[in-house]
Amino acid sequence: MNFSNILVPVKGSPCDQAAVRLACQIAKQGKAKVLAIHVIEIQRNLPLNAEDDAQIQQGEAVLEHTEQIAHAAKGVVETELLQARVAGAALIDEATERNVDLIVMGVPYRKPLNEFVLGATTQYLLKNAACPVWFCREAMPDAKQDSRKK
Amino acid sequence: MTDQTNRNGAKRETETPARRDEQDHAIHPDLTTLEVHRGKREGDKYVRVMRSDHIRRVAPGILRASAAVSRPSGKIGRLYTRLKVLLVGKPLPSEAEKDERLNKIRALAVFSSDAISSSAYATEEILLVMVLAGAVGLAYAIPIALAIAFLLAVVSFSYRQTVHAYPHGGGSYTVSRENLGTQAGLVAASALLIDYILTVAVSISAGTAALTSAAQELYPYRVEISVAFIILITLINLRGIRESGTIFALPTYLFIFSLASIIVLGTLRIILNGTSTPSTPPLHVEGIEPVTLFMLLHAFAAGSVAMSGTEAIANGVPAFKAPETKNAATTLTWMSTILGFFFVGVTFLAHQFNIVPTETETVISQVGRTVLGTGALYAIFQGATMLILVLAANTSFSGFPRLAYVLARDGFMPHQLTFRGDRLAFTNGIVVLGAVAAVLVIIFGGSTHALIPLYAVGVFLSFTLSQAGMVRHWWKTREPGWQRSMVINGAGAVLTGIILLVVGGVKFQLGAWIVFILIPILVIGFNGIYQHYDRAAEQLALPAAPSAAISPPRQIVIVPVGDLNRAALRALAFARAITPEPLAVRIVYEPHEVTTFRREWDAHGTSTSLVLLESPFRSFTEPLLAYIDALHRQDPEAFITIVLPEVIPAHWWEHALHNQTALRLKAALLFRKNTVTVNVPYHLDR
Repeated sequence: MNFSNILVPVKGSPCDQAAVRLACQIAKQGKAKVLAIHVIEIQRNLPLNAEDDAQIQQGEAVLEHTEQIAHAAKGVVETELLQARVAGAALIDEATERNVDLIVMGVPYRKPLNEFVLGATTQYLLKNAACPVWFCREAMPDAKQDSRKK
Repeated sequence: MTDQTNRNGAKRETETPARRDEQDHAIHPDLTTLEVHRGKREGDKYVRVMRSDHIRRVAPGILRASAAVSRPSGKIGRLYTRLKVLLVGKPLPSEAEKDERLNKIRALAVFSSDAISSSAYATEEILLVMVLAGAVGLAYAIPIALAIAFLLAVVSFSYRQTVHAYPHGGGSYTVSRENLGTQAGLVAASALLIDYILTVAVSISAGTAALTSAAQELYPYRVEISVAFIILITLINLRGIRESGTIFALPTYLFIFSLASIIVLGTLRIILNGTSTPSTPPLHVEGIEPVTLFMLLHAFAAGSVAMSGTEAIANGVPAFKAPETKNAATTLTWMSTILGFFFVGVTFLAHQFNIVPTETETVISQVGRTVLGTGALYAIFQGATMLILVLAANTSFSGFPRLAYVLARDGFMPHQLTFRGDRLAFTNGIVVLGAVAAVLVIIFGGSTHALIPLYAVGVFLSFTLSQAGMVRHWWKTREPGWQRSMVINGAGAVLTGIILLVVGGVKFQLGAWIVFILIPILVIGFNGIYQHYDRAAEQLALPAAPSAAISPPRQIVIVPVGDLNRAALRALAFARAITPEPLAVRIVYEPHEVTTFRREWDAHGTSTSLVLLESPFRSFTEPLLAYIDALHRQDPEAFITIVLPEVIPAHWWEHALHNQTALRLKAALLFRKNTVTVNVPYHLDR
């Protein structure tokens, strides 16, 4: 399978790393471009173009870290910072505008009610993305650690 | 506001043309703008934060350039960068400064190679003097060595105190300046700088001499080889102090390990078997002079060259890992202990083995051969000795740039010497040292024996000043135990002072007089630079109370016009952006040009005032300058702005075909008061 534009949504969580590395690996095979996007979700009581310096700074830091991961994986990544009410919707629109043909996303392993759950953005992408969406779920914590937590 | 739908169905929010024009030309100093996009579905909106690729916003009004900014785009630039990375290494960010610092193991290799290498020849220096008194004289070698070792201990103790008292480095210069006055500090600094340069020239030439002795066919190329060695050491030092420490650690520790083994093995042999005879039978030593006080002092002074380089650690305290002062003091103790042990050990063995200096073989080589025989171990030891002698230069490469930095920071040397390069090394200081040493090697044709008499005078001058400074320091601070410290430093000052007089006296006619002339010249130079910076700072200083904003100066804008073309019209348009009434000036060489050019000017509807200046002798710059002067006299407080049309050709090799007159004019206006020149480029496509 050959892709030309790969989108990696990044939040700054550890599970981003595997997704960025995977995207760089796929990109190298097909000479594709990798676009990492961090979305700042703006609260409803604020205007959409409100400039929250702390959040922009944090977003810049996440994207800079992403560039470093890509550089370590000998890949090149273009980065983008968005502001939206719903991250998933902005990612889908940006993917459409940039002709993205693959979305690679890191997913944390979460079991809040003893049931594995997907986050809102992940679910939104699954439902609405026109292109293929690949998830890199982080490894399940081992049984020992699990039992200690219990 | 209107919506614009792009080809993928997403809608982009756009402004009215007038508003958009206004927004398009707005400057965003933070390089971050927000662009609102409408999504596919009604009500879906998101904002794209438009950022610069290589400059990121850290906080409002604070930006940070990434490493990518320094990456050149052109082929030649990329090639140059690759070559630079290959030779010097990848650039390091300023935050890496702490990682570039030295641990004690590396620091010993960097700062001690000069001092430790002295043990390779210091014993010989004593024996060469005392041999004049025959066997009786040679017997004094051990007491003299012990006395020098004692002096070394005193000087090291003093520098340990200096390290703790002046943790920001500077060594003798700082101590002398703080306690004896600025001029004394500058004398110490000049002496040390001269000595650092001589150390590089002499040690590199000595290393080359060792090489050309082994491979005599290389002798005609000794200057080129020496310069190549200097370039190599310069490049390694430009890679940063940590990396040079790693590279030079191996030969330094090889020498330390091998000489320590020789001393231990030799001593054991003497204890177990009694004195063994040297491999070569001893020469019949017959005295030609009686042992005199002068001879003893001369030998003491000659052997004291072992102490050169002792001050390097005190100069470079900030190069150490934290805790800087503790690590620097410990390394200084290690260095002095090793040097003292080597010096006394080699002298002891030389005495026990009845070794006398010969023209064909050094004393240390004879000691090594007696203990190790003539096998591979001896060859390794000789190789290590040669390398340590060459690497003595490296101590200067760490000492000189740091001292130059401290002097530049205090305003006595050009501020450029405070500059740290890509690898956080003091690039300019390193290059200056390499260049001056290379020039010395070239002038002296690769044989720097003539420089040796100049050597060591500076060291003892700086020792004496430093010790005297510490005496004053204890007197002023009266810290616990100050009396004991003061006595030790006082004794050190007297002893190093005596050695200075002896060395200076003995070597004066041989060339040491040059140092006594150079030091005042340097001190005058330092004072001149300081006075300049002082005057400049005084004139540039802001008043204590915030003053009213400086009102913009009145401007007289002149556009020198040659041919009336697009480049000239663009320059005129630019001039009108500065002032509503710029003045175009055309130099006219032939009378008929007056009417033809005026007609052309009017035909293009140029409303700018035009002055036609006739130049019957066909000169361009002089009449124009005279006209500018005359205009300026009408309003001397105004700023003259010369707006020059500049044609930029499509290829670099075509540059010589354009703008020569503008270049001449710019050169003529370079230092003119209240004059600004502006180039308005017009790029040719082909």
